[in-house]
Amino acid sequence: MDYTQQIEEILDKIYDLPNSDAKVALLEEAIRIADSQSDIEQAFWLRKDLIDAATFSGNKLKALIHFTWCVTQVDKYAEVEKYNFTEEDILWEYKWVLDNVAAYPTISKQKIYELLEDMKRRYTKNGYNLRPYYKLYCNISMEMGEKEKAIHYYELMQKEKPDFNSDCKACDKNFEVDYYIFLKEYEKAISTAKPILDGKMKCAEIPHFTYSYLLFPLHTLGKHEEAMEIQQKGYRLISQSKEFVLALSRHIFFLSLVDVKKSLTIFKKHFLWGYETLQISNKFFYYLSSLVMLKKLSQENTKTITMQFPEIFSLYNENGKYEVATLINWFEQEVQTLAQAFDERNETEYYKKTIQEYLQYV
Amino acid sequence: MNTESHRFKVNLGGMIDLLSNHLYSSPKVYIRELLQNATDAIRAKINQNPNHQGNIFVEVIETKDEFTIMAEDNGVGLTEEEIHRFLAIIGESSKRNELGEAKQDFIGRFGIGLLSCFMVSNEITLITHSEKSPHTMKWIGKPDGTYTIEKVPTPLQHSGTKIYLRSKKEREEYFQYETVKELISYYGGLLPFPIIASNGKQKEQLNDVPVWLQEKNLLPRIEVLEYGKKIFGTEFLDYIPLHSAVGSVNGIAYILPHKVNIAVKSKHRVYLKRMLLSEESENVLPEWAFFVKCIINANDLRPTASREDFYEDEKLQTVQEELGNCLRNYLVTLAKTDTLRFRKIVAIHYLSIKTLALQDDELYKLFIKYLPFETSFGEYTIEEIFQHKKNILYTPILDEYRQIARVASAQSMLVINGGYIYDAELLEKLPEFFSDVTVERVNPQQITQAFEELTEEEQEQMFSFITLADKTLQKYLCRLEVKRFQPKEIAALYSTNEETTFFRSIEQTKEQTNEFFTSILDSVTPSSIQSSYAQLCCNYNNPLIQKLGTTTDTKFQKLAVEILYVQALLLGHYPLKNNELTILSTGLLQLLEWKTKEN
Repeated sequence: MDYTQQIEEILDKIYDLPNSDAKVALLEEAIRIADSQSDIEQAFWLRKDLIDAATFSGNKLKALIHFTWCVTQVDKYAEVEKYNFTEEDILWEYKWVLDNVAAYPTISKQKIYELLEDMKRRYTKNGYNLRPYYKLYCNISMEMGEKEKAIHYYELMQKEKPDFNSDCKACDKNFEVDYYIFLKEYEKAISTAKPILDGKMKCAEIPHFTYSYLLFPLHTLGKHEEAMEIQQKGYRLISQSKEFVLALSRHIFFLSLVDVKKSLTIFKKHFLWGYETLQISNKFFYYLSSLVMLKKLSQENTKTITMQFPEIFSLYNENGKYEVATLINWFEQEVQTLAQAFDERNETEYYKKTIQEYLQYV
Repeated sequence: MNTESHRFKVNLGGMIDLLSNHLYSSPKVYIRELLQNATDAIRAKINQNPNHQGNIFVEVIETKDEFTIMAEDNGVGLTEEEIHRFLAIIGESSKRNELGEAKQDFIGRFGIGLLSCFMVSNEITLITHSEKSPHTMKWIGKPDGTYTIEKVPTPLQHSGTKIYLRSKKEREEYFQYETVKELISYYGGLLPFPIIASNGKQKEQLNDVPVWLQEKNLLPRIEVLEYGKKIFGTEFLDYIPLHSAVGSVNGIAYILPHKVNIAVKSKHRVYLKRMLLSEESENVLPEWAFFVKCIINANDLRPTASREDFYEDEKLQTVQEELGNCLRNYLVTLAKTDTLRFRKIVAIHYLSIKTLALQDDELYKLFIKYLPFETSFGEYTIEEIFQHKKNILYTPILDEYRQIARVASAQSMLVINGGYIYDAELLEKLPEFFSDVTVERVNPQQITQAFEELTEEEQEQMFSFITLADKTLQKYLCRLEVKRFQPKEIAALYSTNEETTFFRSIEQTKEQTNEFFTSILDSVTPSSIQSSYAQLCCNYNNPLIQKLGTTTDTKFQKLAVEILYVQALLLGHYPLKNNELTILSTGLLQLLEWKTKEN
């Protein structure tokens, strides 16, 4: 069988799959075949598919890796006539990569800014405005806890009208909500979210994330019923894909404040997602929320829990019984180590302070 | 200074343009709006007199260079005062709870609906007679917002309304008799009053109550399936009656006879109060119901402003759940009563059913035995797998499965591919429902570990080869072992795990990216995967390997093991890294040289 046929066969299987590990694996297989035949054109488009499938199935590191390959080929071959891809073909995906890049504490602050500048250069060169660039700059500043910078870039972003390469309305609205929550302007966050909550704006990830972001603000403002309602609705949306591990961590945190048993159930069900994720900032928030939940359990005098941890988990034991105190120690250590790595990279104390903020609810 | 209050002046011509060209997706909807007005007028009349027999008559009159369409109903009609009130003020609708009827009895909003007629005509003439008045009135409206009203000298005999439209230039296509008939059947095919069309020569009734809307306890199966075929052009596997008290919804879900892409939402045909709302509604069924296509009528749901889908509110959500329950109950019953058909449906729609089974324990219990999985023995259902063994081995990663499948069946080992969507999760749940079943996750290296070890003697014979070969492969992050396994034709088996494959793909990408991106890749490579090794397991059953072990030419052994390694990579479709490519280009030449020297 000719290799293009082999690739066709794989693509046939992918056709009816939603974004998932399975789809990513099949695309990786197809890419390996194209690569071993040095078919750069085919390998490029397959990688574009993979970046999409990986981004929306919780495999963002894979998306990043294959993206670097695509950009390099664009730089090498975009002017070569026999190839059909151009620089335009990587602009949209560049946003996904940058959206996620601060999640790895091992990547230096300088490198992140260099990436941002590289993206800016390519957007300008191709005639697109910088709305996405400002948005990402603002988002990265939020992730690093740099409030002034975040405000500055948010304002710049608002001055640019959306164009062809800007995010969808629902994603932009959700970002505004996230921004007001970052500023702790909860009332404003909730009123901003109205079109999303009314179902007038939605996309593949919205309202999924918005629901999870709003749980804590609603709770803080005493809107208990609304919070419980969107918790239920929201959990249904996110419980099937590890893409939403960050959203899950918000559910765990919120529930540990109002219904710790339910929080524990969700923790048990999705622990592996948090444990295995290579997006380290997501892991941090998953562990931090879990820590709050465990401490709440301990306050309510629960001494042990029974659950099926994976065998690779360092505290694993066969009978499945775990001391809550031991688990608390483990999670505490983990979040401290992760926070330190992020704060060192970010040159802020944002992660350390986040731990304190979460733990004050215990 | 006195504060005066003023009113906005609205340019009606502009408004009409806005509504007719932006609200509606096509001028075709003018037929729908005509039917709607007629239907509403008849329903209002029936409310006054439950024995009233409503009917609608539509005639197309063709003259030299234009067409006129006349739509007549025997509904309530309007008095002069009502005309001023309802037809002159946009947004005011006689259906809003005037005339003493409940709001939900009406589907349209007269004022706005009528405006759509200006998309196809420059004048609307309306002749109407209400029992409340002895006079019959004639109203003529223009798109600039002006209208005239006068008494007709010879009044109509009974209450009702006639609307005349004369075709606008370049809109004649919407007045062709065949087109008009088609549009009437399309929008109004389910309306409960007879609709008669005529071109002045012949008359024909265009609607009929379909079998699924007849109030029968048992629907005739063949007729229902025929109806589905007529509407959707597909021979369906089966159908499921749908019912929800909330929203007053009835309908039929047809089971698609082929696999569907679950990422694409299926589109349904929906009617509101028996008038077609949309053929592309996506929101009436729950998301997981991608294996059916449905046709439904709702009497009590809210349409969107353009009346082209249902408005998403809580009521609609409840309806979604109710209809979802209908589908679920059907499957549960079918599994007990008609196993053959049930299996057929599972075989086609297993992806959809797998999603369902994961979300719902009861459905899991019901379906799991019949669901197909890919195994090293071929495609098996769980039931067939159980017949083979109760200790289930699976690998959750496709790439690992590929490596295992090549040798597992030769060792009579049944391994399931859990790399497809939902499969690993479904398998993991098995012990919860079957107490005698255990489930174990395996990787290729565990499989090779289970291969038969060499005897002491054989080990001694191979010792120097193993030491040398293992050392040679170090630089490729690969370990070497020699064991016995089937089939003997395979000289060496390359196996990796998730980490090594991932690391390999990063290393390979780095060779093809520029300096800046290479440095990014360096900084994001997780430290946990950097120390993981692949494995090359040589097969002692293969004569070539035995010979390699006994030769004393270490240079040749080294070369041979590198070539075995590269060959194993190529077999597994792994793109080669630069140092591996060198083996291919120089190693083979060396081998040739060595062979010619020997001769």
